[in-house]
Amino acid sequence: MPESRDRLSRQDDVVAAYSRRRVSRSGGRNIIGMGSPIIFVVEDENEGGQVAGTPIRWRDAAMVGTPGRMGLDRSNDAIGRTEIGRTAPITGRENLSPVVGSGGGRGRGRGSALPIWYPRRPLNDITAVVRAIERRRKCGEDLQTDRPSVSDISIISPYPTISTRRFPPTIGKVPKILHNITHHNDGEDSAYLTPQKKLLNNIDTVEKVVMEELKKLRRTPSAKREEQKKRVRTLMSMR
Amino acid sequence: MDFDYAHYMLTEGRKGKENPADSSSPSREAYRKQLAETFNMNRTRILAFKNKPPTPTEAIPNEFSSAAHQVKSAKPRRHIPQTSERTLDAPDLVDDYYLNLLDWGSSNVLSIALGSTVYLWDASDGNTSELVTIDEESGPVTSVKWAPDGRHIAVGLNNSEVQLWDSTANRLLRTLRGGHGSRVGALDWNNHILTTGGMDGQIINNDVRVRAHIVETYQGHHQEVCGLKWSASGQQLASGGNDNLLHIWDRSMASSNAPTQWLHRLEEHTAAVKALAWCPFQGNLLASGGGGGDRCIKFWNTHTGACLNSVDTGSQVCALLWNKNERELLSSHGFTHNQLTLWKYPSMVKIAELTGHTSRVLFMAQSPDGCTVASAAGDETLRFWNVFGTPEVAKPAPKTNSEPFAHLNRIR
Repeated sequence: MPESRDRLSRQDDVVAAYSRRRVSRSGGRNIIGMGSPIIFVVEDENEGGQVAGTPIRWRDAAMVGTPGRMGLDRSNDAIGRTEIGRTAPITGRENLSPVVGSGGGRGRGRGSALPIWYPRRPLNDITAVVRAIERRRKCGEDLQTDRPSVSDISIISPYPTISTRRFPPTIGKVPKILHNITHHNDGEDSAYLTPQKKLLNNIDTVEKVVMEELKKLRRTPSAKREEQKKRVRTLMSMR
Repeated sequence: MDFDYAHYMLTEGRKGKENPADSSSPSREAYRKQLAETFNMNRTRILAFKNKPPTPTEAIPNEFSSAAHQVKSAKPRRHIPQTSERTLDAPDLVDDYYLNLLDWGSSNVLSIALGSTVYLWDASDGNTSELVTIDEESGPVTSVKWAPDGRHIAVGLNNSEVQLWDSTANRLLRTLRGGHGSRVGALDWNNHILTTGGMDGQIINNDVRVRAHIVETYQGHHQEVCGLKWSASGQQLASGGNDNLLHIWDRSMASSNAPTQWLHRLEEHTAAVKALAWCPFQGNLLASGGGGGDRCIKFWNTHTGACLNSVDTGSQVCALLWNKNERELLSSHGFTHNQLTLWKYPSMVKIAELTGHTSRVLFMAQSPDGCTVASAAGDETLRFWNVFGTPEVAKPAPKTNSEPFAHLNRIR
């Protein structure tokens, strides 16, 4: 049969060609409506390479069990039962995957959530397993993209929340200073200092810095403004 | 007049900043703030005019934290968990768009067909039991549907038969034969009528109480019937097929001498129509979803046949469910995100997108209490989502503001 052998999957053409083939071979065979392509698939493979040429075309031909509105009024014809009771391959336009090559793929390799070696039991509760797999996959992705994931951040820095905590405005620049301290320490030979020693050093530095900051704050004009505002508030409440 | 508060305001110089270093702890600050709110210390004035007279029922004064007042009037926003609450294994689930292998019965038992076996999962205790394994010649199972009583279940097979089982006695009651010529992929109940839709395009109403069970056959589809849903009233039946047609059948039409059996034939979808859902709060509103070539959710007035709205979702629509308590619609999708999307109706704004499935979410079912949705996908998992509310909250227990010791009799 003259068919183009290019790799473009013109679905309509395939459907037309397939339906033509079915019409020519339908005589005297049991057909379930549109749905027993397994017979035809086998036949097609043996034929002279019309379909076996390109894998894309073959899959399309196998999967298209229900051609579109081609006007095939065969649903009301005499329909018998097929002897081939094995699970028929899944057909139908809606079961075609837009991703070529994965249409109708069955078995565990079709995006299954569980690894292949995991023992399967119907309706077994696999919540924990799936969550663990998700987590590991996410960590793997994050490592690949060099983006520190949330869990990694807590491992790296001993003071995980300092830089993200929100401090009241009276403390001002202290969080920034603390931030600098922690990161400054990471650059030193921190391997020789135990975490406790590091902590003590940090506490001393922090105390020094904070006392300085507070003295500065009390003298600033904004602090004086605050005092003024407080006095005004007291007066206003008395009216 | 609140004298304590007045004293505090006038002597404010002594408040707070004694030990600034100590007060730097944010938890302390938060505690302080909370205390201030509770003791109503955020006022600016000692004396204030009231805007409106105090309502007799309200025990809390108006100038109390306005935020709390707002919360009382608006409905509390519910939190929709973005991940599934539970995942169950579903090996051998047939990855076929046209089948309907999942259903949740009114007795809170979920049924799912894996290959040629129908399993029942009791949602109240998590027990799994096997209902039936069909022999290879007749199988696989192509559809399951619980009867309204939650006890009987219909099982459609690949060989065109439909079996009727009693799930409590685990007994086959009858087998409906001779109706369809090919697999029965869609089922729905209307009291004692079991409507079956087949790959042969026929829709058959079976009265399961009668020996000659076929009472009516609807002809209209010329390809496989994959969606079948009776309206809540039981007056109208919506059917969708692989021929892109959506039919509305009305029971009153059967007696009339109409040229066609259907009430409406809706041809707007450009792909197979499987997802169908009748609106619980508007009896003649139907939502339908199209397959991969269409990807739209369309809303219909089934009395007039008019299309009220059409929304492009971007991916194959496999199933639709309405929220019984809110005006929301949940849709499940295929490639590429395999997500469940929650839409606000009628604005069709996306409220939430639930991801987790790694293959297309073919089947969805709703729990009898309306809170949980079960979804089964081609990745052979069955996931549960508390998308319509958490089961405890859903019980509307209107707690009236009871006075203390209300349960005791009045003082005599």
